[in-house]
Amino acid sequence: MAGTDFLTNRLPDGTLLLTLDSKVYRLSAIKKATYKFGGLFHVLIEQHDHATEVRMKPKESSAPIDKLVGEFCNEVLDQELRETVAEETAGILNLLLAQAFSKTSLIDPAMETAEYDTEHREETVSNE
Amino acid sequence: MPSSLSPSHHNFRPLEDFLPQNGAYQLLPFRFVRFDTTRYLLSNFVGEHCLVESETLHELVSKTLRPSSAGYSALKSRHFFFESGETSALHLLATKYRTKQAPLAEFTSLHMIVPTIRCNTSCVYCQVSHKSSTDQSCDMTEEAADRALDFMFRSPSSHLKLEFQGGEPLLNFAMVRYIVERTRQLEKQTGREVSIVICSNLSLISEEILQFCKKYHVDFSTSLDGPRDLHNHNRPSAEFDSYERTLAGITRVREALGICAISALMTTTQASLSRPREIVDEYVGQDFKSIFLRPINPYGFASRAGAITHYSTTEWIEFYKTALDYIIDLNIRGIIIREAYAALLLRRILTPYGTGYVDLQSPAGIGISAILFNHDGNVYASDESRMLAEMGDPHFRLGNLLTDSYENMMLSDVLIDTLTETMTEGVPGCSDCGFQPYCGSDPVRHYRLQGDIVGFKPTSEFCQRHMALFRHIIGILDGGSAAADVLKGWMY
Repeated sequence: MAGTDFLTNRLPDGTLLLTLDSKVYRLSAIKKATYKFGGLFHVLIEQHDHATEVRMKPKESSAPIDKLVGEFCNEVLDQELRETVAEETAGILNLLLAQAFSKTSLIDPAMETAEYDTEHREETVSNE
Repeated sequence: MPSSLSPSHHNFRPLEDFLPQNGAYQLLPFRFVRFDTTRYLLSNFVGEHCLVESETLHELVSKTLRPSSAGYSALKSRHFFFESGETSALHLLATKYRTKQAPLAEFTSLHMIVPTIRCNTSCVYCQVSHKSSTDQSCDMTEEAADRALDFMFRSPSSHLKLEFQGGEPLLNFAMVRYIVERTRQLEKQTGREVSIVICSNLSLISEEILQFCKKYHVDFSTSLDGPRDLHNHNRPSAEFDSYERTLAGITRVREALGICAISALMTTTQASLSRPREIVDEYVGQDFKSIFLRPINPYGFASRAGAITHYSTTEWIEFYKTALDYIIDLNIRGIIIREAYAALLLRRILTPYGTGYVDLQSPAGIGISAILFNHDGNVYASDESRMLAEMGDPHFRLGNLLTDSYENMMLSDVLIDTLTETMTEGVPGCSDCGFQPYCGSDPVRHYRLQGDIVGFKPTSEFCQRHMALFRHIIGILDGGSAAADVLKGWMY
């Protein structure tokens, strides 16, 4: 057992074994986080029914393991948050890109062609 | 007609109707990156940014950010979310993105021509296998020069720029003269304008050359690495005192062509690292209003193992920060001088406009922003691509002026594949980075240092350097002090 709260196991060859709940962390978020730590660790990911196992072997024996594993766990959380934002905004992003390079308005055609005075007159009439 | 509006005036809905409701907003696309121990930098895809506490980011995403909270208005006004029924944010974002991408349609602006690689200095960081000053076997021919100009005038860019690189271009002034005269003729025939710059150590400046440059509106760019001993250490010559010649040349160019007709830039060597303030003082003393603090390029002599120019990225970042902070302090005290690297980054951070800086674009600037015609007719996607070829790896050679067409070179697999595969919007480590809107792709440097055009970002010195610079500059801007005002003055 390694001296860090984040670890579930430390193998005899120095490999760290992290088990992450699949209900909490998407595989895509875990993959992106491991990429960012790819300069410090050799990484192997295994997916099981309810959990994802991440095996991380430090490239340098002198690496501050506790600190790095803590940072890795924070990075997984950040990536999970990024996935949430990307998921929610994917449709709008596509709309914005289409609008940016289109010669017609895809967002609100009526708004771009309406005359201010016309709108104002109609509103004034309806309020009287 | 009432003299004032009463609260019950029936033409207006009550104020409460216009106040935002808790959680009644929709997220807009954005990226984020940890900025320091407690804060995140959020940036949207047009480059607007906010520095927020970790708690604010999580509240934003979970839709619990309250309208009365400190970050709500800033995040809304910078388009990180929009409230129900609102479409103006979408229109504005689309327009800003179109503006940001507009330079792509301009295509290649900077065309570099190498009339010779002969040189009369032996710079410690030379990135080209320069030849002796009398070896005319490496001079450009008129046929190659004509083809280069034909190529340049094919570009749709509205701002064509022709830059003579070397070697020392003035060692083949006959070819410089030929190309300049021909360019001005083509301008008249096509109704277009070309700005022309000679990158020179100024050692060969003569009255004849100055009068020619005055007649044809040609400017100069030179290297000034710092005080005399440092400059001569970096840029020695067996024939003359390099520092003395450069300063004398600067004076003569200014007298003949005007003070704005010459700019200077420096290259950082290991010998520079301990002298950031002295280098800046040298530029102030020589009445320059701009200094470009550049790290060394990992090509040519500069890349030799154990070379005296070697230093770490961390060392350069510390050097840069010290120099930049000193420059800002000078400005606060009334001595006007800007740092060009910071100015480029500020323009990327604070405006939707492009910089034309080849290293910080996505898609990469090679070929489509800048291109180089070598003395032998070979066409390279950038100056660095030429340097790589001089080291024996012609990976980014697009073709030859004498044998290949414009279409074949600009549509070559090596250029198109490199541009499409390295866009930061889609590569690992960049696509979700909060600094992505300000950064760019440098496939030649990553190919050289990591053997891959995309590069492995966790160990990339390019990534390390720019992340550090973005953090430093945004940190100063966020401070809102006199230093922030100085930086804001540099962005245009």
